[in-house]
Formats: sequence, structure tokens, C-alpha cells
Amino acid sequence: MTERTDEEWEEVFEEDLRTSVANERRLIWMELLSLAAVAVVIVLHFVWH
Amino acid sequence: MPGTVGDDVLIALVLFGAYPLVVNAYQYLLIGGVRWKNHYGSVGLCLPRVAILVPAWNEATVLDATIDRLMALDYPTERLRIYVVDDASTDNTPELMAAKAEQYPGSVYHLRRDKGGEGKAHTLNHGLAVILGDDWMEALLIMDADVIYRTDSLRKMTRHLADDQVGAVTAYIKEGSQPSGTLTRFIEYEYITAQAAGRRAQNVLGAVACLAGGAQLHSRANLEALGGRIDTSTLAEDTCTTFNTQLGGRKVVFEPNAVALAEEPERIIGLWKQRVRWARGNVHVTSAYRKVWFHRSSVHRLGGISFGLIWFSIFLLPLTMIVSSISLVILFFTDLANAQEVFRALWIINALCFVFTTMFTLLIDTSAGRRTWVQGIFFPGLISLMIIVYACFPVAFRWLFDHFEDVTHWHLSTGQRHVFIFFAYVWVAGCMLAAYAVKKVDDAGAHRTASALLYVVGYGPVLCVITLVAYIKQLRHAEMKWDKTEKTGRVAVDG
Repeated sequence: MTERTDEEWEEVFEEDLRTSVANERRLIWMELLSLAAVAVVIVLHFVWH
Repeated sequence: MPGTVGDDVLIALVLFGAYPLVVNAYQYLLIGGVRWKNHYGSVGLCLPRVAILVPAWNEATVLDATIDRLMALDYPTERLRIYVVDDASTDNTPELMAAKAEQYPGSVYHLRRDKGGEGKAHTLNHGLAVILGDDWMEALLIMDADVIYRTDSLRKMTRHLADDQVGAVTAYIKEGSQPSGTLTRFIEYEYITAQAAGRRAQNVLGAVACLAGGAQLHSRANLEALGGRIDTSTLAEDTCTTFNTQLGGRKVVFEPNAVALAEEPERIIGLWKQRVRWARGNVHVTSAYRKVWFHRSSVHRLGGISFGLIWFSIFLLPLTMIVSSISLVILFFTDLANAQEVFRALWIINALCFVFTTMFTLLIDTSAGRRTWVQGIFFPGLISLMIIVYACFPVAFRWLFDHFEDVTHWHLSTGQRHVFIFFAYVWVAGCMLAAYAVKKVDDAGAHRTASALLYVVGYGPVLCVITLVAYIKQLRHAEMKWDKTEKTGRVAVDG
């Protein structure tokens, strides 16, 4: 448990929000990277068909 | 592949086997949408008075650490109370709780039931009656006795309650046993797929399937709207609570950045009991909420097509495998050329979905991904992986096979090759039978052998056969027993 002033809690909230939003925003790049892996498998499939 | 109408129907039924993995891949495609569709635009600084409700039956080995960790949460001191509902424990829980109440006066409370063993919902209701008895509580966190919260988790959950349309918030439960074994690593990987991935997709859809039993935060208004009690008539009380919250027009939010660690079974028998209970609960929910599926509503999103497809892709998983396999076997005898074509098509589709979801899973939670990448790759099992290689890269596979024949001087006749092909067709559903055999090996005490076989047969087939067993138990109206998962305090604190 923690003792903080209202201003300090506000700062903690803002920092949490900033990092959470950043975490969610980066997921689209992870998705594109994963789709790229699928594309590689498709190419290999046709190469070794 | 020209053929008769009968052949076309069989081909369609074979491809029906790809439905679960295709829908799973679709679910993963939705995840990127959290960049644009998330609840962070509606959050605010919100630190309500939170009562934490911990049901406990003979949990003295884990309660000490759990309470200490809860008291160390980064949350205002005067806004937190812990209520442990002791379900008539026969261990030293009463003595431990007396010591904890003395250590944290005014913050830790021990509620004891005289008669226990009726199930978690009854235990929770005992605590709810006390907590709702006065107006101190503004939000309630329901958790399990073994769950360890990261210090920032609670405040990351409560921020969503700034939006008064939100009825409940759930966190990302991760498997946290240390040291981890084969099974706990498979579970850890599975939890990334089911929670970090699956529930994020559900956030995008605006319909959440289940509040994690170990981390569900409710607003007081939501609990009162639910009647102030948990449904005791089902093994899936968490799912029923989740559905009833949303059917009442209140949102449920998954907060992936609030992390809690839980101890999961390290033996297949423990996993079996836990998951059969969950799966039977889901069979009950599927039936109890039958009017919800695929019926759009202005009040909630549970009736959406995407949500329904996702729900039934899990529910129908064993059925799709059995139907697909039987259709392949019939084609094997009636039209082998078509059978081989459609078999390859099925596995190529499955392979592409598998590559996409596995890669994405490992990237979503990189710390867990680094620990569990082997289990992620072997999730379908070595045999299915070999079939994937055969389907996607037949030339490479044939080269390997020819090389194998040259080295071993073991040349397969056409008949022997057909036996292999037949085995692969049967394996689509037969893997569940093999998974059941792995469970029997574990039951017999050969844990190391069972762990090794898990890599060969796959963890996925184990989950499938558990769902199948749950169907059968429900059809037989087997007794609904609350088989509590044993906890030993193996969760390691990591933040």
C-alpha cells in the first residue's frame, strides 16, 4: 500500500496510461511481422512444391 | 478435383476441420485493431475503496505470501480491505488468518464458513453478503488464494471504472510457477493465446467471454445489479457473471497491462480435473445462453457474428476434428486422389494459421514467449508438425523420406505407404485418443514419459479430448463435482 498526494497519483496515472497505450499501439507491427512469416511460408511452399 | 456430389460434401466436411484454426487466425487479425479501438480513451484516475475477496479452502501454504503481496500493492492504504472467506478449512488457515488480521489491523478480515466444500460460488456468496452489508466497498476484486498481483495491477484495473458504463474489469493471468515444468510451460503459452491474444481481440469486438476467476474487479453497481450474489447452479460461475454483466448493458474490459501470476497444475491429472470442470461449464453456458448466440442486440455485443464464431470454434473443436477425419477415411476408400488433395489443402490452411498465430503469440508477450517458444512450436505435437511439413513442402518431405530409405535400406511398398497415409487421416481425430493415452500414462505414475509424449502427441489434442470428455459427461448428466485445483505456493514474484 502506498501514501501519495493527489498530484503524485495523477502523475502515476498519466505514466501508466502512456505506457499502456504504447504497448497496445506496437501490436499492429507484431501482427504485420507475423503475417510476413506466413508470406515466407507461402513462398517456400511454391519454391519446394 | 471433379467428383460426385457425395465427394463434394465429403470434401466440404474435411475442410470443416480447418474452421477452428481459421477462426483463431481471424481472432488474431482483430488484435491489431486495439491500436484504434481500446478503452484507454475513457479511463481516468479512479481509486475507489476496494474490497478484495479471497475464497480459501486449506490454502494456508499460499495465503501468507498472497496477503503480504496484496498489502504491498501500489494503492492508497486506507482504500483497501482484504476479506478471506475460509471455506471450513481443516489446515491452519484460522491461526494464520488470526495472525494476519493482527499484523494488518483494519485491513485484513477472516470470515469462516461452518460448512464447506459446496464450491467456490457458495464461498464467494458468504463474503459478498458481509461486504455488501455496509456501504464501505465501492469496487470488489474477486481473486484466488494463490494469485500474486504485480504491484501496479490493481490501479491499472480500477482506472477503467472511471467510465461508469464499465461493470467489470479483468486482468492478464499468467502462469507463474517456479521452477516451471513441461506442463506449466505449455499452460503458460496457452495463457498468452487465450488471454493476452484472445481477450484483446474480444476487447476489440466489445464482447468478453470470461472474467478470469483469479482477477475480476466489479463496480458495486454491477454487483448489486447482478443481485449481489454469484450463480451457484453452474461450474462456470465466472462466465455466467461475465455474460450477465454484459446482458445487463454494462461493459466488461480486459486490461492486458494488469498482470497477475497464478499457480497451475504441474501434472496432467490436475489439468484434466480443472479443464473438464471448465469445459463442462462452457457446455452449460452454450446451452443456457442459446438465445444470445448470433442475435444482435443494441444492449450488448455477445450476439455478434464474430463473437459467436469464436465461441463455437472452441466449443465445436472436437466435433470438427472427428467429422473431418471420418470424411477423409471415407474418401480414402472411395476416391484416394481427391482425399490426398483435400488432405493437403486442410493441412496447408492449418499450417498457415498455425504459423501466424504462433509467431504473433510469441511476440505479444516476449518475456513469456522466450520461456515457452518450444512449447509453442510443439503445441500441436511432433506428429502433426510432420504432417504440416509433408503438406506444405511435399518435395522436401519426399527428399527427406528417400534419404531415410537410402540410409536405413528400408523401402516402403505402395501398400505400406498407404498405411502411413491412412494413419495421417485418422490422426486428425485420433490424436485425441493418443492424448487420452498420455493422460493414462501420467495416471500410472510415469510422469516423465507422459511429459515426453506431450511433445509427440501435442498439448492441443489434450485440450480437445478434455472438451470431448466434458460433452460426454454433460450428456450423461454426470454429477457436477467441484474438484479444487491443488495449490502449493510455487508462484514466484517477479514485479
